[in-house]
Amino acid sequence: MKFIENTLKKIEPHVSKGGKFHVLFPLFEMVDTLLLTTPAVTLAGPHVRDRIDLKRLMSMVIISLMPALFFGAYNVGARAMIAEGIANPAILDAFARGMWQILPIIVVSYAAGGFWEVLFAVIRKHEVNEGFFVTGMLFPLVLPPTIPLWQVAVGISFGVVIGKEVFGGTGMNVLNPALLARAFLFFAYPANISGDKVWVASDAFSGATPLSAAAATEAGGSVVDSLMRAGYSLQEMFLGNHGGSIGETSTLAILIGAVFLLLTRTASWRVMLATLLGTLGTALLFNMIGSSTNPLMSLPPQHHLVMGGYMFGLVFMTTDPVSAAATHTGKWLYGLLIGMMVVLIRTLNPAYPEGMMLAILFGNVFAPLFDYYVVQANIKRRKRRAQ
Amino acid sequence: MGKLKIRKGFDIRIGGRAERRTASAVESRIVGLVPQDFKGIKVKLLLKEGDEVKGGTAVYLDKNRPAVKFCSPVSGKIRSIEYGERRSIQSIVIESDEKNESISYRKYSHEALQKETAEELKTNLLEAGLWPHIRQRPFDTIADPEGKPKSIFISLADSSPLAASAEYLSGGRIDELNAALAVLGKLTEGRVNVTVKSGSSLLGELKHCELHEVEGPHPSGNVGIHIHHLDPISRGETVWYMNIRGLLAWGAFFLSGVYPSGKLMAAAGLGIGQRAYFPVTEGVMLKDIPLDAVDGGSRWISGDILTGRKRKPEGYLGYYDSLVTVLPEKRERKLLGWIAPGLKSYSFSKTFLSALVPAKEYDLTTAMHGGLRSFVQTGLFEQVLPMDIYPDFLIKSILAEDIAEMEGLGIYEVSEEDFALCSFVDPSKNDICGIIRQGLELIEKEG
Repeated sequence: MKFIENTLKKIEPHVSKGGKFHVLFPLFEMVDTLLLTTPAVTLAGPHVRDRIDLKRLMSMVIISLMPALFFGAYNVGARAMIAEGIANPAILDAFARGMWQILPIIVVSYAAGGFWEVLFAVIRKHEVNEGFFVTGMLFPLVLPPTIPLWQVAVGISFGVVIGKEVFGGTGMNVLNPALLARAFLFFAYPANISGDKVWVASDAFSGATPLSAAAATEAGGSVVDSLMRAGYSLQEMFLGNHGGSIGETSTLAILIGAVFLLLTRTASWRVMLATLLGTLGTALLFNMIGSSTNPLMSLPPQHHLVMGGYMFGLVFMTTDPVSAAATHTGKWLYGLLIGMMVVLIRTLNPAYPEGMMLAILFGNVFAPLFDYYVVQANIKRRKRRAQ
Repeated sequence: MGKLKIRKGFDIRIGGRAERRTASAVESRIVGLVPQDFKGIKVKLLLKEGDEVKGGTAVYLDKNRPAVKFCSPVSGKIRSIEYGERRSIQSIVIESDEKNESISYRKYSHEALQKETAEELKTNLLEAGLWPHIRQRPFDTIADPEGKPKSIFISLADSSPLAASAEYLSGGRIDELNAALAVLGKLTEGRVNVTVKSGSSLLGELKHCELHEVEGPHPSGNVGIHIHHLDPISRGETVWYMNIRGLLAWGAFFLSGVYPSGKLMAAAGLGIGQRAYFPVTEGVMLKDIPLDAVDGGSRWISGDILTGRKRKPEGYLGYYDSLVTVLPEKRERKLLGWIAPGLKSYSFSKTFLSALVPAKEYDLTTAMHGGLRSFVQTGLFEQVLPMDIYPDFLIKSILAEDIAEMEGLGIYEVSEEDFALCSFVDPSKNDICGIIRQGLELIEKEG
């Protein structure tokens, strides 16, 4: 440890003000504080500070993503091996095969996104923000395992630069950068991120996801039956042993992460609960209304929760503190809106079976408006008192 | 009598509270007046180096309000005037002749005080240099002697970490407290609100005031929180406030007729061995107090760990302060701290294992625990600010210098001390108190 400390001390003069490489200071600061805690002390009151910093907060999110990542790696490998005719792949074999497939995606996401992040930090002369470590991990987990690596690079670049940096950087962005990056790929290169061919990392395979199976239900048919025919029982979808985006298939793995986020109070329970209630309410309403032409109207509410990117979006995307509403009332409205929109899109607009991504981006756009009205009410209350 | 229950907030469990015992009195050869203890004053010196003073001799005044004078607590002579950057006066050092001579003012009985006019009382306080004890919100400046406050607040419920107990500081001087309260009653047409901790021994004793019992975590004892909940300030209104030290000084002054140069203070924090209450002279040099400081690298603070000011051991006790806190200061670096389990890491958040197995007290140092990052709305501020105010939005409006928005969001109701816990919990390590002060100064100038 002394060795690391001394090495860093030797490098520091070269990257500090006046040093030859001082433009690289943000990069140095990033590596330096990743390795060792900062030696800085407070300058004025408060003279003591909470042990928490953004690194800690963001690492909580990264830890909570691990179950989804590890299950995703196993699942990607297992799907591919089964498609290639290996009936019962060993867990570790499947995991290794899956990692082989997804590790490059993660590496490219971090490398390309990190490049922009450091570049903007250098130009704007500020520190590299740890929020990127989360974005860089969220993005690969919402992509299909077969995504071309150059698209990963293009997508994350779009997310970081257009989604965040043009708004002024971390804390200022309106939309969730990882989701925006995915939406960009979805609209720019739909062939690689939608349809039936991309969800299993094997050329030989083609198969419907739960969402496309449900959307393919014929008029008058039962959507639950057609899901069952495709092999998607409620339990199956909850466990996640099927093709899909890398980290999205297993509701169980995601919920383990959710418990961790809630216990560490890293994510807002209000947003999660509001989104859930919005979905259940809207789906129940649609069930009651019913339709002879649109079988999706009768999809039971609990099915919505385990299909597609719903749970991943609810746990990890809606709760991003920057793009969510900031006030308590705002958070409730924001969650309810997303919960309603996802059912609305899935049911009434079959062109986009994956409603969660668009619903959250829609919620992101409205979040500042909700906050605006809540804050205006506070201002009015104060004015009334003064009269 | 009312009850005020505060739910939001946080008591920092730092070790090193002062024991409830009074050590022997500290003899001071040197005392210092520090103009920076007062916000927004412009110093005009009335004396020069070498001049003789008595207890209560005016040493300087505020150019903006020449009636407001600042006096020497002891008799002796002015030893030196120390200047800082841009010739601002850092401190005026007075060498005591240990004779304790004092200018005499009129001595009052309780009855006489009640009959006296507000004007006469004010004149006495201004002349004797005791007026600065009363301050005003908004802005935390010394109260304008011509001003008409809608009410006066006194908090005897200090909830800040390692705070000195108001009950112990007053040490049975109930007469003096009541004399001061009688005077305060003359200075406002509104109420004199006094807040004490629930169950306080002062409850049955205080007169001439409206008593409120408060309970809850810090900042439940902050006067700003009491004003916000009991008599909130709107644009154009002022509320005056005073702390226990001021109350005791005023009471002693009117009942004795001389400048009250002595005060009781607490010494706390893990940077010292002697944690107790010390009778000292106003403006005592910190290193003259036998605190038994631990070796090197300690942070000396006049006041508490949240809002106190950093001082050198050669610095002086603040005018308003009844507490000195000394903390250990280390510049350690630990490997991969962001992922460490953190059994001994203290945090308001629940992101360390210490949340599961909390210790009773923690050895906190002055470490920053992280680098400065851009502002992220984590929702943590709201949990430690017991006010109907949206901290994130107020802070943003200050950074944008949007005066109308700042007013709307309640800038008149806040002071940086109420936001100290926001600074404490901020994972981005921003100086939230500094931002609030910046907003208040902008409003004071242009609002």
